Amino acid sequence: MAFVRFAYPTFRGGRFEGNALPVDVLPELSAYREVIVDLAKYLFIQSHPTRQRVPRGFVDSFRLVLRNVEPGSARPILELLVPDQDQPALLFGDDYFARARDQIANAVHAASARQALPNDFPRALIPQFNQFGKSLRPNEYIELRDPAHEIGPRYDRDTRRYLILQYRPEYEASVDLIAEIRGGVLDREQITFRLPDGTIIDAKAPESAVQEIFPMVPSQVRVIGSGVFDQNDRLKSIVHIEELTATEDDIPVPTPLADRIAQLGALQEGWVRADSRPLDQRLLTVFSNFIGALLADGTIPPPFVYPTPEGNVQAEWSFPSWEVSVMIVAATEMVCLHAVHLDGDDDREIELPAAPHDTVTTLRGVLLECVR
Amino acid sequence: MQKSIGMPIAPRYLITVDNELLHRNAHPTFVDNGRPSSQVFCLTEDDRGQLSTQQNSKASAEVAYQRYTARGLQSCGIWSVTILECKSLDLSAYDDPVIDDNSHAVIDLTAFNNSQARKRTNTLAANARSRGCQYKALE
Repeated sequence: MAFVRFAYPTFRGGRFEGNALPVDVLPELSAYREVIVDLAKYLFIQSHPTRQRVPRGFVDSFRLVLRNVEPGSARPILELLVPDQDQPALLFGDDYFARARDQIANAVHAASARQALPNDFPRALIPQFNQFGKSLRPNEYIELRDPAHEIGPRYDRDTRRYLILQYRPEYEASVDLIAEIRGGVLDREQITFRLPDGTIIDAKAPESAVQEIFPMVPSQVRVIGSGVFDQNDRLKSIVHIEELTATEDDIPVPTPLADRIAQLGALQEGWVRADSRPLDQRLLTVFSNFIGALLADGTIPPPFVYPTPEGNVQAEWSFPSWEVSVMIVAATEMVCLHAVHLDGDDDREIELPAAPHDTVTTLRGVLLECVR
Repeated sequence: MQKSIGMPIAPRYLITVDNELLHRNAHPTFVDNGRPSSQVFCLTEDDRGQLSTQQNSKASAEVAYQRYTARGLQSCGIWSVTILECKSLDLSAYDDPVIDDNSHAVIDLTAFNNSQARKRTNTLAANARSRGCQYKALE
């Protein structure tokens, strides 16, 4: 047997900066393989119109193995295990797996440039990307390199989202959120949660898990898993719960955003000082929309929200090593992020306009650095 | 800031006992579900770089709350930091009794610009949160 180098999907950013590959992202390699296999099968059928299915041994011939991870973020070297002297191309007349690898790279390249997908890429296979890249966090990506190319297209959450939304109006992504358990339905294998913004969502869960949560109603829990998001990045449902843990009783939990905004909207003249004025309702709407967008993908926990004596509104997070605040200034509608590292001299100060989508992306990236 | 009765920031008024607690009263709007905002420890323009506190050795957390609210100010509880925590941020605290409160003290942030001061007060707030509420007003 011999090994032939096939692909170097290089994991970059976030958890991968230590030149190591966390084992919990290994399913990504398996999902990448699945996309390649399905596309290779499609290409074979296209090349053999008279055939209904691929020949026996076709899929089994694609023996992809991981023998080592090279430095440079985390670069797994995926190799094909082939019989001595044989090349994959010799087995079925063409190297459909290499062609599939290249077409996937082309599709990702187009999506990363926010362009239409290549015409030869089968739309029906797009939903496969729901599984590939699902665990990527906002500051992480996979560079799809192969032996012939030193650089490859960048596959990140935004590119993946763009790609999938070409085919259907929703996509799957990882979630890590705090929610309140509201109940469950055994026969539907379903748990109902209330998100901090008041949204009610359902989660798929085995009957045994549904049974376990009944005594926890209506406590706050942390939910880690994957969910379905709409085109506006709103979480619609949770499709898989990996971990569900009760938040500790002595750890304060923020008032749900909608409730807190209503509380702040009801503040009267002189609420903190004789000259304090009620908060501007438009500011509260802008703030609520902005924080809602920041939390939409479930990667950032809900913040505590406070007014400031100057009439602004501020969100605050306490992470193990960082204190972070995001304030929207009433007069300018600018967003000011301030982060302080508790054990060192490190800090961050960022000021950006509240409206652009880029501001949400930028601040989410900073917050995710602080969460770790 | 309350009117001082004439004890300026000077070495002889420096509070040196590391475990002395310095109390801050929290306005109810700046506490959400038991968590005080960093603003509880933030300077305002009126503070002129000196953060008002009350020393535990002269007024327990409960007494500090009573003295504060007796002046018509709103508080839902007390959160506190130590002199040692101030020192770790290059901050000094000074005895600064006022007419109706001999426990009054100030944490001196006059040497720092807004950004540097905020970094320090945010860290003080985090320390106070870790310590927990020292006195909670009856609801």
